[in-house]
Amino acid sequence: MTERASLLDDLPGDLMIWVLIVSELLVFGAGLLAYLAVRLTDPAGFADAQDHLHRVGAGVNTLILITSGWLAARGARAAEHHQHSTARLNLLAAAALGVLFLTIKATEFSGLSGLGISTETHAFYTFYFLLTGFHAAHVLAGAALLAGLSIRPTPDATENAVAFWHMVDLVWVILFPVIYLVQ
Amino acid sequence: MELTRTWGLLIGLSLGSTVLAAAGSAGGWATAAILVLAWFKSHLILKHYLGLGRIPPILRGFDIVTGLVMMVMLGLALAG
Repeated sequence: MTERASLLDDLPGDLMIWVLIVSELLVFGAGLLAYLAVRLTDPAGFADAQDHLHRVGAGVNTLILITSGWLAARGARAAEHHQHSTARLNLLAAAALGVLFLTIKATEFSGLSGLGISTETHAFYTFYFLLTGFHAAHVLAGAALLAGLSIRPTPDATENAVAFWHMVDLVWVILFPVIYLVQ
Repeated sequence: MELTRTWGLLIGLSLGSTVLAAAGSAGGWATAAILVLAWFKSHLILKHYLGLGRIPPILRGFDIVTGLVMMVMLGLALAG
C-alpha cells in the first residue's frame, strides 16, 4: 500500500492530470475499438470512405503535433529551471503549431464538406468526424492553455499543462494510423 | 538532448507509417507494422515526454495495457 502510494507520488504533475489522461485514453480507446468493430459490418464501404481522406495532410499534421510536443517538453524543462524567456518562447511555439494543426484539420473538414460528405453520409464518417473532431477540441483547449501559460510559466502549472498536451499527442499517434492508414 | 532524440525517433517512426500506407501496402503485415509503430510511439511519449521513464512499474503498466488494446485493434482490423 505504502509502495503504491509512493509510486503515485512519483508521477510527474498532479494526480488529477493523470486521472484526466487515463480517462481520455479510455474514451478514445473505446471509440477506436467501436470504430473497428463497426467496420466489420461493411469493410468495403469503410475502405471507399477512407480513400476520400487526405492521408498526406494527416501525416504532415502528425509531424506538426510531434514537433509541438517536443517544444512543449522543452518549455516545461525550461520552466522547471526558471528560465522564463526560454519557457515562454517554447510554449508559444508549441501553441502556434497547435493552431497550425487545427488549420490543416479545418481545411480537411471543409474539403470533405465541399464534397457533400457529413456525419450522415456513412458510418465511417460518423466515427471520423466524432473522433477527430473531439481530438481537435482537445488541441484547441491545449493550445489555449499553453499560450495562456506562456505569460507566466510557473513550473507546476507548466508541467500539468504540458502533460495534457502530451496526452493530446499520444491520442493522435494512435488515432492517426487507425483512422487514416489501416486498410 | 534526450527530448530531441525522442523527437527525431517519433518523426522517423511517423514517416515510416505514412510511407507504408502511401506506398499502398495492404494486408496483415502492413497493418501489424503500422500498429506496432503506433505502440512504440506511444511508449516513447509516455517514457520521455510524460516522464514515466522515472517510474518503470507504471510505464510497464501503460505499455502492457496499450499493447493489449493494440492487439485487439489488430484482431478487429484483420477480421475485416
